[in-house]
Amino acid sequence: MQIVKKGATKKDVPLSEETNSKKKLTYKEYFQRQFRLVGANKTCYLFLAPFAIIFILFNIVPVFTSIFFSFTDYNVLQAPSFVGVDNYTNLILTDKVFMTAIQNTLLIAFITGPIGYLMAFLFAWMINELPRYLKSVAVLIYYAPSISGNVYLIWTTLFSGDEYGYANQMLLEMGVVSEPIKFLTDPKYIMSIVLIVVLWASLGAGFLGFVAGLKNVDKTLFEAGAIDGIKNRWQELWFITLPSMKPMLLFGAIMAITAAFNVSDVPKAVVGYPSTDYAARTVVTHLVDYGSERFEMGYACAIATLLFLLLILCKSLVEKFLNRIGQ
Amino acid sequence: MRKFVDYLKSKRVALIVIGLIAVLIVIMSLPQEVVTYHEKYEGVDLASSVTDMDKDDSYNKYIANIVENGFDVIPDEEVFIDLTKKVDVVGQTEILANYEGKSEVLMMPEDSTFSVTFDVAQSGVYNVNMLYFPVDSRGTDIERSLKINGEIPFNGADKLVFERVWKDAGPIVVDNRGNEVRPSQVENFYWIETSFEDYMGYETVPYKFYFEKGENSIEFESITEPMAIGELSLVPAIDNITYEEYLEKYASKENGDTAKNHIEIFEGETSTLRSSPALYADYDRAAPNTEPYSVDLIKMNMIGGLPWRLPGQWVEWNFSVPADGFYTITLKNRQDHQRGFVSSRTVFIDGEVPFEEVSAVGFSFTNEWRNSTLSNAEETPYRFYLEEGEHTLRLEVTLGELGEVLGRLEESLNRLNAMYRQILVLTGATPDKFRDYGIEKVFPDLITAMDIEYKRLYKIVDDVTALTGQKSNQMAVVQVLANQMEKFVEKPYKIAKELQRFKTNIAAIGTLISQMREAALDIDNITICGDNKEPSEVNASLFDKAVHEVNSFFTSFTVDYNSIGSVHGEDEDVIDVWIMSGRDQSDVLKAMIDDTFTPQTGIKVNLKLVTQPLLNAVVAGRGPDVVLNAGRVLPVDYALRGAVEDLTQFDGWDEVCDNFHESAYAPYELDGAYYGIPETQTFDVLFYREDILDELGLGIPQTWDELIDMLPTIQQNNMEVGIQSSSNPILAQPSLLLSMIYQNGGQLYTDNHQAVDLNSPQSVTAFEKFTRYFTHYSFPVEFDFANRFRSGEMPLAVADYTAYNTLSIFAPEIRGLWDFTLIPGTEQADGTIDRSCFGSGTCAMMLKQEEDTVRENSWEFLQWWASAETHARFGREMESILGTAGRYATANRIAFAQMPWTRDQQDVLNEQWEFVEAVPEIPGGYYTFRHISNAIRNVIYNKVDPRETLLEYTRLIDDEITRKRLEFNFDVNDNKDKEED
Repeated sequence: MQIVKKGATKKDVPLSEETNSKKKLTYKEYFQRQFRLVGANKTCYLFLAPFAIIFILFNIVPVFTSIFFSFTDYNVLQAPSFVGVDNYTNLILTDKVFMTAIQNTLLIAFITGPIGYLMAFLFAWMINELPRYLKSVAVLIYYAPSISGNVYLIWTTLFSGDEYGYANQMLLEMGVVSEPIKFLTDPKYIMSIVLIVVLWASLGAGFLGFVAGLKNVDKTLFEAGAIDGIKNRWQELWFITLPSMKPMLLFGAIMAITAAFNVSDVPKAVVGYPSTDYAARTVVTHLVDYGSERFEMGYACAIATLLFLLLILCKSLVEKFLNRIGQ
Repeated sequence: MRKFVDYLKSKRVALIVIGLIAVLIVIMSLPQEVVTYHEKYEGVDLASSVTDMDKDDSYNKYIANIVENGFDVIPDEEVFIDLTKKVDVVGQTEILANYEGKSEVLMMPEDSTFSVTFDVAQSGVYNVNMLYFPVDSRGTDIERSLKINGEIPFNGADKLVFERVWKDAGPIVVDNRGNEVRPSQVENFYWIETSFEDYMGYETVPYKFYFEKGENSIEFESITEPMAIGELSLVPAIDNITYEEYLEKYASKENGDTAKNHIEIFEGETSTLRSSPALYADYDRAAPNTEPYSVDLIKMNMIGGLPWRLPGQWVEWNFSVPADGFYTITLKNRQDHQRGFVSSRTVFIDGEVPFEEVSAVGFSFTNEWRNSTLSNAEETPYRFYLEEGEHTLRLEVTLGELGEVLGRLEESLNRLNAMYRQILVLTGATPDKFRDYGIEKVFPDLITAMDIEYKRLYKIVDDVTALTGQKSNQMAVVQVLANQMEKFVEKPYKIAKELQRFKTNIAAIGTLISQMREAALDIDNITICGDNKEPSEVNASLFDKAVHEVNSFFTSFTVDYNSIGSVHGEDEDVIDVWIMSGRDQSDVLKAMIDDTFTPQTGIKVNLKLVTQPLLNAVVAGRGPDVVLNAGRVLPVDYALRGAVEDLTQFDGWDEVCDNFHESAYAPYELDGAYYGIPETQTFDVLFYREDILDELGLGIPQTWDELIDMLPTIQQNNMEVGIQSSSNPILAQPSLLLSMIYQNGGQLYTDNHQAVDLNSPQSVTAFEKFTRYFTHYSFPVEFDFANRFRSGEMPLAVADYTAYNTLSIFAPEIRGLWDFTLIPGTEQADGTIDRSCFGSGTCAMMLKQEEDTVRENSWEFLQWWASAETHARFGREMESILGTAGRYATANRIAFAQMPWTRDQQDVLNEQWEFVEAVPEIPGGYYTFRHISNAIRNVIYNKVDPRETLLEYTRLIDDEITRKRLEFNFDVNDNKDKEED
């Protein structure tokens, strides 16, 4: 009820009431008060409205619908029926494939997330030092994998299990192997290939944000830093550059994490769907399998909800980590 | 660091960089001196043949032989062959007293061969001319094979193609959105006069045949389609006259003022006759100066384009002139199809090439419409003498001089492939890099052959360069290969090291040939001019173009490109049909609906081309009424959730079913009700390379055991047999394993469809046998069928029969060297061979309907769509647009009989079709194939016990099926007890 105090100004609420029922303020009254506040500041809310409406409609509502459906048995084409937490118990206790999916997703997230993130930052930092005309060329080259859609398909040629696939041909010629390796269908190799491709494709995420962030660092700070005893560029980076671009770092991190958790197109296109023995199953491919292949949308929604929680958890971890920058 | 950056930033560096780039551009744009390789091959006899790598029966050899022996005399008189004296060799031909206005006509049905003897008065070189009537049949080109005095004179005479001629069925109509709809194409039946020609187009003049004085015989064998022959004659092979002779011939003719002041323009799209049903009026909205012009509507304003690209395809126009006199011909044309190439056309006026100069008129690359007057190198227009009245102008695709060079290149390609196979025998596909195989000692002939071959290739490069006037980058492939072989001849040990690249280069030449045979051209209109008139200039100013582009940008917001043809409102009698296919398919279908279905039934159809979101649309209640081209699993999936209509409720379902094999509609059944009508159905056949099997002395394997017996011979020669292992990550369909299970007496699902039947002894044996091919007999697990088959590494392979379409387009160099037949079977106890196989396909289905009228109308539509007539026409039109590559794999048996397969091919396919098993789709069926694939992969990769592995995955599949059945409250299988026994 602390909030109420903050929100309620003396002008809005008659003194007598306040003294009478300091602790008995009902919810009804609380909301009435809030609405009055909205009325007072309606211009601000009007400005907020376009975004808020779209955001609520396309982000908040779907999240809640999905949470609702996760407690039902819903086959998309017929009306859902309520089943309680069955979906969740099945998912966590009996679905072995889901455990593989979680494992793989975390693996992808923890390997490609940080590596991609660091590489993107290092490269942005490097590019920032280039002269202007070279800079735009370098940005384009670096960002190309992210904007060029399904180009990762070239990896399937590279790692084709055919003895004429590039990688196999090379290995055969060097005498490393005697028969072609089925990179894309042998469970032993599938995850490594997926990791490589995902890493390659994720390099662009957040990169542009970093470039923009680096540009916006206040130049005078460097001078001040030099006077204050910054000894080398590493110190400059750690104490000046990074703290000044924290918002971009957070943005980049969130992009990297969501991208890593949402990996599904790459394994689908590269190692097939479903991959051999579900070796490349991720949470999202699992979700797609149940949602559109088996028409078990309730179950799929339960998966989505868990993924959502996982993302929130990761985001707060990253935030904590980023708070240490410059300290 | 800072300093360095500053330095980089300084302007001097920028200037240097810009300067360097400028220098580079200048160097690159300098006129390149054309390098020729004449010193490499001059003084070498390129015609000499080495070993048996030469196909000795080429037309070039045939002609060379004639010239060598001094037989190339041109006789004076024609020889008429009396067809009434024919003798039937195979089948029944018939002499009709009167047929289509001609007397004494030889009617030749599809399955027949006749021979006829006749006297030749004078030895010499003749063309063979024929007057034929294309008897109404399947609408594909007629093919015949010719023998002279008992033997095929040269390779090419075994495939003579006689085209059918097409015209518009009616005028162009306008749909309710103002777009013009092209009329459908119908055959124009009439007596057609032709000479026997090279259908590949490498020879630009009719074939010349040598006939000795005295008694000769011709044997004429039917390959596809019936025809009626009115006249057959030998005509002295005289060359065309030159333009000078032509002018001389008509020098005395008058050229009055009416003729001199005449100018007439007729539109390209108004052509009267065409050689192919795909060659119809078309529209171009990309340029501001087409006639007629519209920025947003479809207006037929041109003809040609890609359907007019292969040698022999022609378009004919009618026009008339008011008086006798001399006229020039100007074509408003555009050749924006192949950069760096000249697209050639032969000009026929009233059925004849007036003079040699117009037997190949070249059109170079341009992005813009332009007016080209037929004229000589000095741009003086040719003057054609025309008499008052009606005339025809025909333009036929020809390769011109390029044809001869391409012919040589193709011969080279055949020899190169033979060389590659010979090397393969010694080294295998992946030779040991560090070993010297001593190829020059083992195959000394090979090196000699290569020595000549690379010189031939250099000559080809030079010849093409001379023809096109510039070094075409496409010829680089040939040059690279020649270069490589030159190196091989010097250092034979390099062959093993570079075998891979050698192979890729050879394959690239195959592709190059099929590309260079294509010569597309667009025609907007044609101007006929007298001496005093000039055709108008055609050019679009920058401003015109800008206006056009801006206009078309804005109209793109108002025109709905996803809807096709006429679009109807939300009427009661309108049905929505979604087609999950390509634009060509939907265009053809909509045209068929608009010109046949809607007029016949009064039911309006809105057709939409969609790709994915069917489910979403259905959930949102905005789904279609009918879905075409749906995947195999969709009907049952939707039926389980009550989202599709049971088709057995309608009258006429049984009649619809009669047109299909049970195997075609079995997957769409659930509990006795059917939810889909089959559209396409495909199944495996065995592709084989005749030439290689002959070389190895092998026959075609009838059973798997025979195949295994042949294996040592094949593998000793470093070749392989291809069967799909289900290792392709994207398309994992273990069709061959299923075939083997069925051949072995097993089945995929138990009779009550409540479990998979993979744990039966028969299935397990089949599975063990199947995986053994990979684990013990080292069949390749993953391979690219088309490429290996083409190079000859894989002379035997089981593949989907539609692979025929790919091969016939993709590998012209092995034309006639391969075929397909029934898949190997399993011998049964009674000695018969069971060749059961698994088939896949697509279907049409009707989504759940609220209203009775819509339901009835949708059913009407489905009935129409599933009918043999519609399927046959759809298939024909698809093929006419896309060529053989677009051959429609119809599931309708009656329509299939009308597809342009040859008789033999049809027999094979029909026989295999009988063996296709009716495999149902069941709830939870998505689990089956994925786990069968897993089982196969596990066994092949990890060499685990097949039996155990299969049983383990069978349990997984059964669990899922049971789970799904419980979800839908179906009976559940209790075979758990059975297992534990």
